[in-house]
Amino acid sequence: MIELINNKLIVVDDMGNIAVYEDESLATLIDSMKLIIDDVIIDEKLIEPVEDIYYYLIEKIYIMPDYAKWNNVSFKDKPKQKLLRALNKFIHDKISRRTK
Amino acid sequence: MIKLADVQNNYLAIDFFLTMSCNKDCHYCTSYTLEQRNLTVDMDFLRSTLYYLRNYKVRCNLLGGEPGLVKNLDEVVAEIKSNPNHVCEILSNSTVRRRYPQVLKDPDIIYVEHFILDFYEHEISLLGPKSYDFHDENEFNNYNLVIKTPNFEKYKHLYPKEMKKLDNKNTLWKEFNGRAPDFNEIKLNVQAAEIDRKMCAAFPMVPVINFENKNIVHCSKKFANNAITSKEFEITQENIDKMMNFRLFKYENYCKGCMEYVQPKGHFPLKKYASILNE
Repeated sequence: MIELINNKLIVVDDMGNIAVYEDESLATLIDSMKLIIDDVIIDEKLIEPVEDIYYYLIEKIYIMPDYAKWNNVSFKDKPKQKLLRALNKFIHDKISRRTK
Repeated sequence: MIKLADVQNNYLAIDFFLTMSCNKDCHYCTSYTLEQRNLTVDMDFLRSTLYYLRNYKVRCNLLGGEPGLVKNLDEVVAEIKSNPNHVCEILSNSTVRRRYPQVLKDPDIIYVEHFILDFYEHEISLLGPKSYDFHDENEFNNYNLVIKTPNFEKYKHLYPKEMKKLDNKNTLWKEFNGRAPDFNEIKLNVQAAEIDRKMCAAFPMVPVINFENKNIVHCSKKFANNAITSKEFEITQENIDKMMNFRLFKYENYCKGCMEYVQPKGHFPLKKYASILNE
């Protein structure tokens, strides 16, 4: 299970062991996403397939954090939810790939 | 009067390849044939295409080939302008200026002329009838288009007068694309970042409505280069809706190997994605 507590990514394994993920790039991504979707929730249950474009936007902001800062952008609720799903998948994939 | 910046920020561009015929054979261009064909646009096809696009903010780029050769260009322009969601842009080698001068007086049409993109053409103009001069600064949305080709970079210092004339807000400067084998000022032999190519694939700089085959073509670069057949789709309401919402085009094999120039900032700012995804 991956959670966001006090702006830190926490991974809890099946045995209940807690590990903090110190990853500056992911932390920056979450900060950038806060500019767009306000309330960033990290929860595996949110992972559901969305259109490719949402994954691309997350990947782009991960690679180029300034991309989110160039304009004031307001997404409506539905695209925000999809961005959140794509963000969760991105973070989950990154962390689980590393864990393996 | 429309503002170019507004159109660039808020409209999705689609290339309308009205005809592939052209009356010039510019050395940098691959998107033409000297055979004169399809010079009358099928208005029923145009109307149905515009109807499918009726709810979307679209910048309709009329090109080809040379749109100035189209016999019913006036009719085409009037049809596009009849929907306030659509902006008409014409890219011409100056034939439009000669045959349809009224276009230049209409500030609601973005008129872009590329009769001198490259100083190579300067030599051509000495051989044939004199071309028109560059557009001065104006409020009619008439623009010079200069693509910074290798020749442009190589010879621009020899043309200080021309360079000064081009130095105004009505000149659009564009990077050259990947058709050059090598040029050190912009690294053309380096691929754009994969994420930028993926985003470009989702909605290319300009997808194409091909008036010859009457279909949608994924990528205008591939279409114009004639090198690799770009994916084609039938023109239906469903496909247009998918296209305008980033669900029609995928990251194809030809995108993976694409060497075209893609702006590092991505060709869409985030607010443009937001405006479309918010619909």
